[in-house]
Amino acid sequence: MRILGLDTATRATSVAMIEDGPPPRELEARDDPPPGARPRHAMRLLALAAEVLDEAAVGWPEVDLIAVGVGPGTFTGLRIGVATARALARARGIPLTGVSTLHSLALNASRDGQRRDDVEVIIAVLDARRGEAFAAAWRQDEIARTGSPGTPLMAPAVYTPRALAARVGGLHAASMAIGDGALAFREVLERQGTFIPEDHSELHRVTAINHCRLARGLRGGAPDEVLPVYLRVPDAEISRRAAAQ
Amino acid sequence: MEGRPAALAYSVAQAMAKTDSEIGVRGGLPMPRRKQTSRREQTPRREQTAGPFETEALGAELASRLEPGDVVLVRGELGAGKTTFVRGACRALGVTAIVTSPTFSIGQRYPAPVPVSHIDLFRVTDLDGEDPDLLADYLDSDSIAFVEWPPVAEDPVARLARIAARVRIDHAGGDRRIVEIA
Amino acid sequence: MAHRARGLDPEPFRVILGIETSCDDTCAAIVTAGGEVRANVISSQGVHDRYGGVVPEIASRHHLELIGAVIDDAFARAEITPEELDLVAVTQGPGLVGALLVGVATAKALAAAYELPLAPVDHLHGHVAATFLAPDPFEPPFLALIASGGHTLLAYVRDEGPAFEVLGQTLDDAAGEAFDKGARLLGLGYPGGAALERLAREGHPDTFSFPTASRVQGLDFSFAGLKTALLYRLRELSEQEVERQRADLAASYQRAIVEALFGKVRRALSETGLDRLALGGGVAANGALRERFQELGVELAVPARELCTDNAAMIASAARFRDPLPYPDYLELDVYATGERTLAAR
Repeated sequence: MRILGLDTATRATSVAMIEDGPPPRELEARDDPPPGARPRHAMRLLALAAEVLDEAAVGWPEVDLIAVGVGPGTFTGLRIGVATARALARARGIPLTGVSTLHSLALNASRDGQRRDDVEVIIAVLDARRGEAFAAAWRQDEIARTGSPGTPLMAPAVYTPRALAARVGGLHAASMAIGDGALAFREVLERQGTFIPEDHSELHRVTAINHCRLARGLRGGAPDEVLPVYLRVPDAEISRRAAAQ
Repeated sequence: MEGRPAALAYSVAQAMAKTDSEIGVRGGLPMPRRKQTSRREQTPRREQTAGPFETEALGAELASRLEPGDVVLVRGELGAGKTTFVRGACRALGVTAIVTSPTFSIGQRYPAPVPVSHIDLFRVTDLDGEDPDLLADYLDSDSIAFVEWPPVAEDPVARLARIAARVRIDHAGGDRRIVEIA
Repeated sequence: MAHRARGLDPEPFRVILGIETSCDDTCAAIVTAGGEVRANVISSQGVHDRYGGVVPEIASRHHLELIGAVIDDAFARAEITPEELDLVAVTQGPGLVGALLVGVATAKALAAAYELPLAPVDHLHGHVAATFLAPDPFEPPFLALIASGGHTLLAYVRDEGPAFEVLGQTLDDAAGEAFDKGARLLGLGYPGGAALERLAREGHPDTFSFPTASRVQGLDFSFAGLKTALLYRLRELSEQEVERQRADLAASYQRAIVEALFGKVRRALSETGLDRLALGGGVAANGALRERFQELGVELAVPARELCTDNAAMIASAARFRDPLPYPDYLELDVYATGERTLAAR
């Protein structure tokens, strides 16, 4: 099985491929814009995908499944990722599956050498801008379950710092928070007793390699069924509906 | 619009119903607000202009005290001369391109010694519903920005740049305008 | 792969897929090298009407949801398979960035999957290229007036492509914007252009006198003053008077826009010595405008309504006359929002 993974939910652009082998292989090409610089999803995503294919010395017909990060994350980034994945999949008849970017991020914590036995719960937190965060939490034991990671302790949602603190406090479990959102709200989370790895830890980076791992064994489906998970309704729509009531 | 082939029926209600249950807790803590700098705050001034040229001149005058990272909010009803005011400021900042209404594209970026962004939120009913990147593409510490039809809540703008001035333009009959700069 | 054997083909780009998502219409089309429109699918989102204007985020979301089905529909109507494609063309700008990105990401990935060339097309060049489509291609040289919600442009079109000479453009609002904002002042719904035109049919265009931008030098346009004049007129009138004369106001206002366009076009024709004129853009669908321009006595090309408003057939048409980017030269292609590159776009 050969899986191509794409993610554009965060400021980074990540493309990865895993092959079952033998020998098994994992490749990743990514672009992390320097602090303050704009994300480069539009320019880099497809080019990185081509690089990964070149590196793996395979063509599109040899790709068995595409796994694209559906967020939550930056809206424009998500659309570039999903539009690209869908077009590649439909053109080449490759099954496509959407992967929760939060779930993929959480998987960082259970990778070899990263697992901490003193932690029961992993909280994945992504910066949602406007002083808010996208977050979800799973039991560490259940994260690596392919496809269905078990019921999340916190379902993916957008949180204000106060709401996030309340939810995390209510978990009553030894927890670790990772992701760019965990860094943005470090103080709030640490006050709840949550452990957060140091700023430069790789645990905070979303990588499409995890998308591939989570998609392993999945069959994928029709490309057009995969859509971004925005977690936010445009407020123009909210106010319109409020006015209609 | 009528007479076009309606290739697909699409139900918004359907699409929105999907996301409804996914919305998390909102409200709560107020946004961390960037502290307003007071160093260049001046007493509000109020002037009457006799025509577009004078309105442009006021824009140019304001431009002379702007720095990279500054944003100017320009209010006024349809036809008040917001774009005229911004045009004057753009010229003073070295923009040579034609400064038109950015209503259609929401934002324009003009090359100049300090790049100038010109944003028009006439069509954007509520910034909260928009991609957080919508403004980030135009407001940054390297450029000077003008925002027409700024939203009532200035927070999203204030988070990305320093609000250096608030301009209000009112009709005063014919080509005359009252321009208030605070 | 069918197209891999195309090296021997005398006509390399027989089948072109066009994609256009610059504003709120999700469009895909199949056009042949000869300019035959095999399919022209336009999915108007419609949902923006209730917001009083296009909401960029909602437009982008809908583009993503619709684009796959719209492209499928284009292939089905054209009765061809994606494997038969020779070239992908896409609107690169100007327009709403988030909306453009959905089309460009889709087009790039489709082209890359088949290792096909890709032609990035400027939206305004597309509007001009609508006139090159079969069955009655309008042959250059001619004068082109493109007027829509976002653009107002007067161009000298010497040949089919890839570029044209811009003679005039708006210095403030676009013509379609003048329609929309005027409609808003008159209390009409969105989109305002069509509503204003409907109302204007019941009114007398010579009831009120509005400026026609004669103050503007050269061949450029200005509509901001007209908008203000309408505002002042509305203020002078009592509510009852506005109610009674709404149709007259609409008719007079519409006439001012049409006359402003007409005056500059007539002047451009006389200055260039051209005796042929092509219209394009959503404003060209306006009945009063079409009628007035008949009076110029020049050879007039007005594409069908669905080729005047935003569509992908015009984008595919423009691609016929420019060198596309071969695979993989377009992988890093980005979009642009504003019109300044229209001049430089090739």
